[in-house]
This record gives sequence, structure tokens and C-alpha cells, in this order.
Amino acid sequence: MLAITSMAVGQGTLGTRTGSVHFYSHSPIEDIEASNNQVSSKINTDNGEFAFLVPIKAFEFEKALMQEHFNENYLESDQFPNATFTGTITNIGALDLKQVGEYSLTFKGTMTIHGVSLDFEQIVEAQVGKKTLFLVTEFYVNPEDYEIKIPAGKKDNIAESIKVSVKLQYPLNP
Amino acid sequence: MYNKAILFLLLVASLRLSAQNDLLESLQEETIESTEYAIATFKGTQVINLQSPEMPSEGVLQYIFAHRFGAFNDDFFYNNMGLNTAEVSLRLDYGIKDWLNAGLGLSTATPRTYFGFVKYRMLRQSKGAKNSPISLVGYSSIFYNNERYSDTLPHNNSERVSFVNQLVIARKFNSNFSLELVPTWVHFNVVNLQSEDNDLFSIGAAARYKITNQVAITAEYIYQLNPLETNLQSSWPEFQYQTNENVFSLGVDIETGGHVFQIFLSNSSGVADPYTIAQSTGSWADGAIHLGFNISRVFTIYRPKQPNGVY
Repeated sequence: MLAITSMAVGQGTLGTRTGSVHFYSHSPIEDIEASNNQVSSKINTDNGEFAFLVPIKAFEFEKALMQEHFNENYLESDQFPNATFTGTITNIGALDLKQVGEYSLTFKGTMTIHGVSLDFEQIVEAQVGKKTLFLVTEFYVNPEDYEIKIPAGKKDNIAESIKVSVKLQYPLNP
Repeated sequence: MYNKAILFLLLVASLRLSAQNDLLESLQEETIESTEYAIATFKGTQVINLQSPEMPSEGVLQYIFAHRFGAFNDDFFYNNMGLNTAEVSLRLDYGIKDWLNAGLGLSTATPRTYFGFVKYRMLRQSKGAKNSPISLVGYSSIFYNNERYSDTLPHNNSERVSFVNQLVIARKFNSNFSLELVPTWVHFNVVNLQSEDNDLFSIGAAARYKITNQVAITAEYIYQLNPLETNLQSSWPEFQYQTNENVFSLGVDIETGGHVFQIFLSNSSGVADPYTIAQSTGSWADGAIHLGFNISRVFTIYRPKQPNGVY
């Protein structure tokens, strides 16, 4: 009986390792942006539980020195190598993977960046295709909320609120 | 009853939590092992006088302005606090590849020099799929002394040339502490005495400790195995005997965006490597300490790696 249950759960899990996240910081002095295509994620489509894992060192910047400072001075990636978001899709029942179309899903849970965990809720656009589930969303993150210290001299270079765009594609189980 | 309800709630909550962590754990386990390179072992491409394992990335142009005031014990106030006896060096270098860097420079008196160098990374400290406990960087430079000879004898241009070869063996122990050992070989084409060696060997050691994300303390020592006995800066037969000291330096690195400011104290007055290493006459005990600073600025000339997002 247990075996059957766990098999069923296994069937209902979607996963990807090549999700992408992009951030954009706009300030009068400079625009800073970076991309990361190594986001991994799993969604249990039976109960709506999900997990996202973003390796901080995989962010690629235009300028090598920006990338160095991002890791060394701001995100302190030696100490905090990953950002994570775990929780539950509260309206998972609304999602029908057999029905091609667009759905609006509410992801609710805990976002951890720079070792600081905060409650986070986000409505995500989901597109169910014949072979894939697409998730696309955009939100803003304030570095200060996650205790990312920006020295006074750099306050004008880095936006208070940083735009984060996420795109993930999960292959659907046949 | 009340307690039981709380216990039950806690149990449910922990079950839910563990279920979510299971997903996260399985993600962490499944992550493909990639190679993680140590970055920013030191802040600058030089620690103080010694080279660090850092190099400008591909497509990055770096400009360094190095300045050394006269010694505190050298008629300090008459020399306008060392300003009159200051030495300056300018250099420009470029990251041809991430592992290959080359540059040109010039420096002021004692002696006047033009120089060129290449720096090449052979090994990068890393963990994960590829593992290396250390970074290994080579530095080779050639110096041309363009002082006018005070004698009337004929001189070959080759007499003016000297070379420095260094191997930087560095390790970043943690995000704050880094250490390097720098075996150094200095070659002067001409020395004053037969008893002196043309090939001079020394061992440098340098360390840095980060106090904050932007500020670090550095220290450096260069120990000479077979020091020269004379002053190379005045040509034969006008040379003098002198004690060429080992060089000890203490500094602070301050980083602000594309700049690194290095402010330091050193018993070396030289701003050109062969003379810094082999021709430093002052010692800390005598108060022959120089205040100096290196300022670097980087410019991105071209960007080999674009963010590959599809936005």
C-alpha cells in the first residue's frame, strides 16, 4: 500500500534543472543585470508542494568584477551558496495538466536569500502545453529585507528594489 | 487537552515542513557536481610589492598608479614630508585571456625604468568536479634602466636590462584569509662585483585578512637568499657598498567598485620590481619607512561573456 502511494507521488512530481532567473537593477548611475540558467525546481502536482534552488555563483554578469563583488561583498555566496523558495501552491486543484491552456497559480511559502528567510507569496502564470509546463513570473526583491548590506558609497549604483524575472519549463510525464 | 492540540499541530506542521524540505533536499542531492573556482583571493593584482594570483579578466584593461613617498627618517620635513623624494610608477595591463595578462609601465628615478610583463595562470584553486588546493600563477617581466651613465666609458644597452620571474602559489583558506608564497628569481645582466651573483633568489610571502567586505589588511615579506653587496643604481666604478635589506610591508586594501586603493608602509622605496626586491637599503628599525599607495582602475573594453538570458 505504502509502495503504491509513494509511486503515485513520484508520478506527480515535475522537475527541471535548467530554469532561468534574471535580475535587473536600475539606478541613475548604472544598470546591473545578471542571468542564471541553473535553477532547479520540483513541483508535486498532487499536493502542490514545490521547491526552487538557485545557485548564487551561477549568476553571470556583463562585467567580471560585478560578478566578483556580487558574490564576495553582497550575497556572500561562500557562506550562503543557494537561494531557495519552498512552499505550497495553494490552488493546485485548479491546474489540469491534461488540459492545454493558461492557469494562474498562487505560490506561497518561504523565500531564503543570503541566509534570511521571509514569507513570500506570488501569483505565477502557468502555461500547460502538450509536453511541457511553463512557469513565468516577475517580482521585486529589496536587498535590505534580506540583510544584504550595500555601503553608503554604492547606494546610488544599486536599486532599492530589484526586478527578478523567472522562467521555468518542466517536461510533463508521458 | 490543550497541550495535546498544540502537539498535534506541531506534528502536522513539522510533517508539512519536512515534506517541503524533502523536495529541496532531493534538489540539492541531484545538483550536478560542477567546478567551483576560488574568486578574489586578493583584492588587487598586486598584494603590495608582490604579485597576487589575481589578473584582470579577458577584455579588461587595468591602470595602476603606484606612489611611494620618501622615508620618514630621510630629512622628512625638509623633503616636504617625503613628497620631494617620492617615486611614481604607472602601468597599464590587459586581460588577453582570463589566464593571460600582459602590460607595460614606467617608473621614476632610482633608477628610471621602462618595463613590460606577462602574467599567466597555470592552475586555479577549485573544488567540486575539478579539485585544486592552490592557484599557481607565473609572472615574468623585463626592465630597462634608462639612467644616463655618469662615466665616459662605452656601455652596451644589454647592461641596462634586468629580469624578474615569480611563481605565485596562493590559497584562499576562507572568505577572509588568503596566503601566498612567491619564489622569486631576479636577474641583472650586470652587477658591480665578481663576488656578487647575477641571479638573485628570494622568497616572498604575503597574507590578507578581510575586516569587512570592502576593507582588508595585508602584510608581505620578501626574504633574499643571496643579496647584493653594492648599490646598482650608480654605475661602476662609482658604486658604493650597502646593505640590501629584506622588504617588509604592511597595508590596507580598500575596494570601491572598479577601484582598489592600497595604502601601505614599506621599507622599500623602489617602484620597479628588481630594485624593490634587491636594492632596498632602509630598514624598519632605522625608521626608513615609506608611505605608499597603489590605485587601480579597471575598464571593460569588450565583454566576452554576455548574460545568456532570453529576456
